[in-house]
Amino acid sequence: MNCLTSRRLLLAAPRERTEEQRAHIASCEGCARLADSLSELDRSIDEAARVPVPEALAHRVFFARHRRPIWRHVAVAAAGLVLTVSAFLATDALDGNPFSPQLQAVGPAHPAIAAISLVVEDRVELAQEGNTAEMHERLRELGLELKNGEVHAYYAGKCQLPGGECDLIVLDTPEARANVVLVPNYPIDARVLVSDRSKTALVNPARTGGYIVVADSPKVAKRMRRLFVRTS
Amino acid sequence: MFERKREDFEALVRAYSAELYRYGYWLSRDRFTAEDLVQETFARAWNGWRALRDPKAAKKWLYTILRNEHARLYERKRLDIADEQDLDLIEDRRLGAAAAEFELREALRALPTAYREPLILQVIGGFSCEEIAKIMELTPGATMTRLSRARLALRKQSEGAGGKERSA
Repeated sequence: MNCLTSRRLLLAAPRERTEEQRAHIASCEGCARLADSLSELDRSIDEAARVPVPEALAHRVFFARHRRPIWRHVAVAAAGLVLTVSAFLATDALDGNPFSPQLQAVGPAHPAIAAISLVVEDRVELAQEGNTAEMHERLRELGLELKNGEVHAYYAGKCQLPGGECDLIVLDTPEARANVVLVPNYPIDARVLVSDRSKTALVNPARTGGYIVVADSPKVAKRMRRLFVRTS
Repeated sequence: MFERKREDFEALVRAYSAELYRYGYWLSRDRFTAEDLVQETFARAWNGWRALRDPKAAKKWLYTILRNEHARLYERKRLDIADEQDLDLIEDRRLGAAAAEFELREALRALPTAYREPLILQVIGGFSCEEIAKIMELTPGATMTRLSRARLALRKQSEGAGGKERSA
């Protein structure tokens, strides 16, 4: 190998060296100097190219992954699929009232169904520890706060529901886990309980919009809902 | 089966989201576009996961998806330049920044995409010349030429910045 070939290869790929090239560099002072200089340059380029990556990028990828399938699911369901949903519009029954709840079918565009889809398909439980301060801020905007010390909660990020952008919170207690979807822009004026695909969504009004607790059973949803208190 | 797929996919996201973001950033030179590109890349990767027969090829596959997505985004506004293009203009672009890294980053930003992209694939992605040639659909010779010219331009920039600091 001559110096011209060696230098051409070094400039194109300083890290990819053949045995022949290594032997040439070892015996040629000029090429060795160029190799050192280019290695140093590549270190600098590497540092310069490493622009900061947004915090929690991977988590946002997890959440966004099924965003479109949710809409597809809604569209398909709206197109005529039968949805087996029961909505307990008289949610006093949740609190132990013995009166039979009123049953009513709800459509796929209902925020409760969308929230369940989010949990079932978007796999919210994959979220790791998020920004707690942001979670409290989102709750304050809804006129809510969490009871101190009774639950481990973390903010899992933004997502989309038919009503617009919403926020996800994961609640973790020793007994159970639940996902809470904060929907600030969706008008909710009554509590509604919806069951779908083995999940329960408890929709609750708040100062603006509302929040939807998605859990494995009505009992857990109700218990989790009680962890929220209204701020004055 | 689904759990396995999900776990494999999560591992992929954790392993490559950062470097794909950087690749997307240097392609688009815009942080928001870069994140959108990463999101779209993984959305497409998830949908096409079954088509991936060799998990070892996942990295190259993801880079290719992102590259195609970027091209689709800009409707293939070709920024490619002829290999003969003179790069002297690039190293003359000084922004007056004191930090060498900042200057190098600006020089990298100012490089024509045709030169910057293979360099980023090599430095950030760790791809060989042959792999870069396949990703960019170039001949290995053209790839090496672009890489050499990119390095020469940045080297001049780097030496210029060093000279300026010494003379200051």
